[in-house]
Amino acid sequence: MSAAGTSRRLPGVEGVWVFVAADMAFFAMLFVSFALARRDQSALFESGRQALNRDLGGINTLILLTSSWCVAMAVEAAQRNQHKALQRSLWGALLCAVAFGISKAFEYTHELRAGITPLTNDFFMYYFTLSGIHFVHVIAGAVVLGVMLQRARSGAYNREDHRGLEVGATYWHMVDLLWVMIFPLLYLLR
Amino acid sequence: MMAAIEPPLNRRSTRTTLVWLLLMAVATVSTWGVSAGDVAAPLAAVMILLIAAFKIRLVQLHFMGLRDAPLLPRLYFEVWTFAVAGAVLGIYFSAKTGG
Repeated sequence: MSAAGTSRRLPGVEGVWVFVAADMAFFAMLFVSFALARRDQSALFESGRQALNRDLGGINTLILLTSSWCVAMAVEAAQRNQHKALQRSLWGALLCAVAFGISKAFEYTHELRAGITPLTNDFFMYYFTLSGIHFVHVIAGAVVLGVMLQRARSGAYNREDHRGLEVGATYWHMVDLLWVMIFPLLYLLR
Repeated sequence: MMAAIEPPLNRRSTRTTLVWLLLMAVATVSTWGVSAGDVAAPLAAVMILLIAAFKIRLVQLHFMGLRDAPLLPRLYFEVWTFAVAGAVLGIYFSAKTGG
């Protein structure tokens, strides 16, 4: 709407969007595979779901949504040449990523100590696969956020040149939205 | 590239923050309200997945910038969201109806 009649554009570079589209297609297949397995073993999947910590999963959702907001605000700060606000927003996003990592590590530790592993049953195989692949994405994203923060501190992003920031932001938003689907599938769906 | 579509950035930031607040509110309702057990499982499933699709769409349009993207990529991501939610719900109800 706002760009009607002018230039519609994808933020960042096209390559990152191809990567994001492919990664999301891969996750879509995992989601469908999970739903089919859940249909065939609904009692087992329900008991597995009840063993998960819904509160931690919910808090992790709020953390990732907040980190995504911070990254969106960082891009807008760069477009305004507001370097302090840019760095503050990236710090916020990075702290959220670290908080998610700590929370998820705590959750995994608690589960493993209770004797729950990917081999426990099909539900936990999917649980560790889906959340584990996503966790790897979070770690990679935290590194990306760290690099972007370092570059922001050296003044690399400004109103005219912030494509690198948009590339990292696009990746990080994907990490967020994948969790927005993973969380209800694993923790909420009865 | 940027100068051609100088958006009212302050207004955009306000919108971004309002979207974030909406996302947080909806996520809270979905996690601690709808899924708490008072709502019948099939209805809760529909609500939870529709809320997830709604949240994903908000992230795509307002955070990722797909709102102002060319039609084809926007279409891909919109279809992804509803295809995933629709497929999961379809499979969920195929079990409920014994299909």
